[in-house]
Amino acid sequence: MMDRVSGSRLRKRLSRRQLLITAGAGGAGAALSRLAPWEAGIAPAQIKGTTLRILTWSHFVPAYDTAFDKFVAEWGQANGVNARVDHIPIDQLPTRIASELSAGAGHDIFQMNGQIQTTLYYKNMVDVSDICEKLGKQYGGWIPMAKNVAVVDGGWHALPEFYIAQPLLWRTDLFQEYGLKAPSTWEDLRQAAKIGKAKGHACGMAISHCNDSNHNWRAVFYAFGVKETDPSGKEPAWDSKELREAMRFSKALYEEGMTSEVLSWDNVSDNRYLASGVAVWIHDAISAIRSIQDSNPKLYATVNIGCDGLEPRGAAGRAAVVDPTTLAIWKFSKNQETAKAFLEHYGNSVKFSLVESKGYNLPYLKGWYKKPMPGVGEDPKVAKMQDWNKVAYVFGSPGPATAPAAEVLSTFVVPDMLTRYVRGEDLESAIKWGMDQIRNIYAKYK
Amino acid sequence: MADVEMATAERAAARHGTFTRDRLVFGYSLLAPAVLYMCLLVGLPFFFSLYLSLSDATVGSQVARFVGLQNFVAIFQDSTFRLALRNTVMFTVIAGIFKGLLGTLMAFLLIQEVAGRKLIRSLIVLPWTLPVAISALAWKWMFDPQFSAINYVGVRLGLIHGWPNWIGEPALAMAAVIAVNVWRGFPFAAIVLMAGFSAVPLELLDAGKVDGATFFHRYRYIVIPVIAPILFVGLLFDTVFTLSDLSIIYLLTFGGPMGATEILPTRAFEIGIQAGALGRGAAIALVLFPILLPVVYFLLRNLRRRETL
Repeated sequence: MMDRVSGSRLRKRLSRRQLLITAGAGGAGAALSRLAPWEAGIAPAQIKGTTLRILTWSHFVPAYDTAFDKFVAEWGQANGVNARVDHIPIDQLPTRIASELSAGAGHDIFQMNGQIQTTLYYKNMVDVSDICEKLGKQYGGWIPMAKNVAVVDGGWHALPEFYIAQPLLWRTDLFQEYGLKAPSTWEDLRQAAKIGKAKGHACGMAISHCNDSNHNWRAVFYAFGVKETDPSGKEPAWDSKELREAMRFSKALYEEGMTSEVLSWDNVSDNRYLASGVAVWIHDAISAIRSIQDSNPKLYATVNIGCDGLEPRGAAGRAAVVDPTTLAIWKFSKNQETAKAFLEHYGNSVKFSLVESKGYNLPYLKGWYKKPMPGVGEDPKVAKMQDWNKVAYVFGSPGPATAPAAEVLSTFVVPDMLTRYVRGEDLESAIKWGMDQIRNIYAKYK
Repeated sequence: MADVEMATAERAAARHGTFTRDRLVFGYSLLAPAVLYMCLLVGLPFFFSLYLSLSDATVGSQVARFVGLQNFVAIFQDSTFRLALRNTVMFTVIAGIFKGLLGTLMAFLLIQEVAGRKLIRSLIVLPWTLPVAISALAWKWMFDPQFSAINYVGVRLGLIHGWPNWIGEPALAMAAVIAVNVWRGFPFAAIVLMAGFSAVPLELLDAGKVDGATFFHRYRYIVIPVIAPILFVGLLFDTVFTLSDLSIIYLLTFGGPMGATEILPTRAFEIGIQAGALGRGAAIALVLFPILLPVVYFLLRNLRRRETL
């Protein structure tokens, strides 16, 4: 009765003008509700006046840092948030993350880069499943690797940000000079390196305590069928005939095509090696050619990326073991809503990431692999990387990037095992050493 | 009369008691900051590390279980840890010997009366005062496998044959990190020794000369006994600094190749912080304690004996 009265009163009071305004506002509201907040330039009102601190790496494409800082500042201004980004070297990220967690204070959003520790820290990270599932639906789903770095116990605890491909970078002029066709397999590359080394143009892949070494040799091993774990990621599966085959090939590649300097390389040694004009090929992120694009355009013109638009083929197929990055929110953060609003905004800005990084940041969302990819498709040099999602793997494969898999990575077990073998230790003895290390690490987490 | 005497004695005893109590309170209050400092900054972290080493604490977990000596058993079963332990001892002893020799030589040179002595002294301590990150990076360039300045100069002067891979070959890598540690540390040894030399009475040295003592005799029987307290304290400091020197190895070799330059601090950092296994990392770091303890005990006992002579 009461409702009916109120309703009739309301109808009586509603003028035509009011009806139009209400209808207009309702229509606009309905339209806005179909748009994501970032598209409407609106974030939840409660984040206004809050602060947001982001911890990320110093990007290997320095221009991206400038663009990202501006991107964050503009989002902050638009939403009344005092937002700031702190960049630190990639090697310092694991330490900083550990110390922030121990102190229970620090940044609101933090990046994991290369060494993914989601399984170790997920209980202290905010569940961002709502954001990731929404983004997945919107952009045709996530590539399988995304779940390996961000999902633990069925929940998304980080936003897969981007991954860094480490493709083959080879000298077309030298291949031509040696009468070789464009490489397609690891065996082709071994032959090229053998000829190149004899002519003063050895190839180079670090076999040392650096991140490049971890990823590059995994790319070879995976191509030969090596598996790190069972699909659950709980049991190590390294010890196999495929590993022995991969090790034999790797030793031959080292002896025939490299010099011993790769045993002391760091993450930028291969960049310098390519820039010096000596290398017949290296296997590294595209920052290695970006750094010579302006300084040595002649050399830049001779460098080609990838094999058949993908990674070299091994006995079991092609594999690109990439450097993954994720962004996560600490549970101790007092600005979790602000952080989530930003992640949602940034997760929708893949185009920005692709274009500003000049194709360095490759996306985890399938929808962005429609050709031509922004920032990648227009550049003939990197356009070949538009299918990288088909061969991209992350360490720990086929299982997820678990804490023990990350420890195998961070303690450089694989490069050390290979170093032992290439320096003359018996194959079985080197593998036994490596397997003992890996078994001890996995046993610790049981 | 007796009452008066008793009252006076009581008053005197009371005054004496108050005086003693006041002195005690005053003494302890002077001592308190040092004790508090030791407890908070040394004792607390030490006992916390001990607690961590007996637990399965990880960086990501809020709750840690008591696991007894499990972490210690596990680390001694790890061949990389055993290698790191051996490397730590080798690194400390060899670097210590070279720092002692070069420091002594430098101290003798620095006490000579030459023009621009102050400038020379300030230049000599430069390696020690430079931030380690800068000096380690400069050395990294000098040891670079492709662009090594040492190799470039050495080969042209005929001192080096071939092109040594300083941080890629296990033995050379260890030599390289020791060389950088010595380069950084010997100015400290020189300054400590120089301070000691200035305390040696000239009359003693002159008397030695008159008695026909050679330079080495004077050094062995006059200088060393006089400067022993300073020498021991310097040695103690240097041993502690070298044993816990993470930065040079972290920046130059990251423990490679094949763990050839892995020392206990780098291993503890890798396992405890980077891999997040705080318990095991603490156990690795604490292995330094029983190594250091006899060194400290021996040096301090020796120092006390000399003081009582």
